[in-house]
Amino acid sequence: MSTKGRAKIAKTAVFLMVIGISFICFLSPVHAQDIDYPDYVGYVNDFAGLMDAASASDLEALIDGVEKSTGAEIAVVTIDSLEGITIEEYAVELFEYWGIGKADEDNGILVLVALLDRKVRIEVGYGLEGVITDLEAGRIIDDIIVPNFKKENYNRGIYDAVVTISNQIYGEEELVAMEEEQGSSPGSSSGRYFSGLPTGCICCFPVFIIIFLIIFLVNLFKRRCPQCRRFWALTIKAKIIKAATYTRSGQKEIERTCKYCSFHDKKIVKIPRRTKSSGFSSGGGWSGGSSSGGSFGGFGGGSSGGGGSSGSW
Amino acid sequence: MVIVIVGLSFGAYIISSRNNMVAKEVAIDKAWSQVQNVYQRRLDLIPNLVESTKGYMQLEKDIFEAITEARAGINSAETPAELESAAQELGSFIDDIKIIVEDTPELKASETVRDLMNQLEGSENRIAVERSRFNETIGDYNIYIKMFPRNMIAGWFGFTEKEFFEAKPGAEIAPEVDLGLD
Repeated sequence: MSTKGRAKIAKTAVFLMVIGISFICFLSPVHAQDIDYPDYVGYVNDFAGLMDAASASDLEALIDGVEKSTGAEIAVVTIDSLEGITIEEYAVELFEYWGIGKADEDNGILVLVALLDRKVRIEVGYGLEGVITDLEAGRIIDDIIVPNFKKENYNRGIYDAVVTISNQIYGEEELVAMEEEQGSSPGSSSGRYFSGLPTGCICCFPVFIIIFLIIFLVNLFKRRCPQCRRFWALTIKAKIIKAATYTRSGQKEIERTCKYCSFHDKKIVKIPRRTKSSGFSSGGGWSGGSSSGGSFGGFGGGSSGGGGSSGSW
Repeated sequence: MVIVIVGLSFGAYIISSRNNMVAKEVAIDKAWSQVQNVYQRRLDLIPNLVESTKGYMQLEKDIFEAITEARAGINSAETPAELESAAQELGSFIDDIKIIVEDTPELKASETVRDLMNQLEGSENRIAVERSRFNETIGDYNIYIKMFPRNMIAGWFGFTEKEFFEAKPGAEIAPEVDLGLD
């Protein structure tokens, strides 16, 4: 084939690609967002102006505390109007749009009040459906929110409802922590890495050797005394101070003593939060962790599946 | 040279398209099992509903048999139409219970019934949410496989358009409940 012919083919190919791409762009569906959901300003979003500034900031602090110690995120939203859709639809869409709760745990709760529609809903993320059941959400609405709202006590109604929800979340937290203490005995965690590996597996021999080597090397440097620089010099003792739960990370104290010199130190290390689908035991590790610190920095990307309850006043 | 490059990029395009289709199918399967879950969840409420309303309604057939049937039907359903037909009988039974509760003051005043109605509402809301999520994933997939160059690739690998949940006529209108307050 001549150079000219090739160039022609190349040109045609490029031309076809350009057409194809523009075609795809042209055909791409435009996602019509018929409702303009507001953007959040914090945990408390009083767009309808139902709360006074003091209560709103109290509530913000309360929710911040819940997030700090359990990881659960509660959003309080008051709006004027539902813009023609049901409160259930509005709540699930807003929940999704904001991503209330942590993405991997879906531990978010949305308390939504629509003033002109006189509707209220507590929408519960997938991860908290067991903590705040539909029944409990319904009771909070019927017994706390509705009676207060009827008397136009919006402040009180919202505040008490969030306090009840928080207590429920804290309560669950303690239960999990107690189970944890009974279940696991604190102590040294060496040798734990091997329990997960299948024994007598010959086919994965090279893999086994590599893993062994890595663990060996990691241990070698972990047990090297920083003072006298000798290998295998440190005795490491771990003591669990606060067990990790599903919603909160824990702490353990690591004590290192050198066999050869006078080196000795203690430090407190974070234990990562437990995850539900843990096939492998978490090894703790020396990770810095991701403590966000400070105040509200946005929601974590959780989602809900229509759990919770609605009511009207 | 140019032919080789064009050929390779075309091959890569085919492979990545096919992989995307598979990924979207997996997302559909996941959404589908969520739908089946929430339908099953509603079935779980029926024995309690029957128990607390039994003085007020007549049962035409063995309700536990019907639940077992519906459960099996929902589990084996592969399309929205199959699932709806499996859930249909007990769905209308639940609607009957709701009407009876609405019309019977003693039932309406009972705490247990109120709680059950609350749970039923939650269950039905979950069904609505998961159905619409399922429809979203289906829509995403259908658009993907029907776009111009990919429709051919989809054809080669046997990816076909999938069925949505259809909104039932009148289903988009929430039933009006008159509490007689004004």
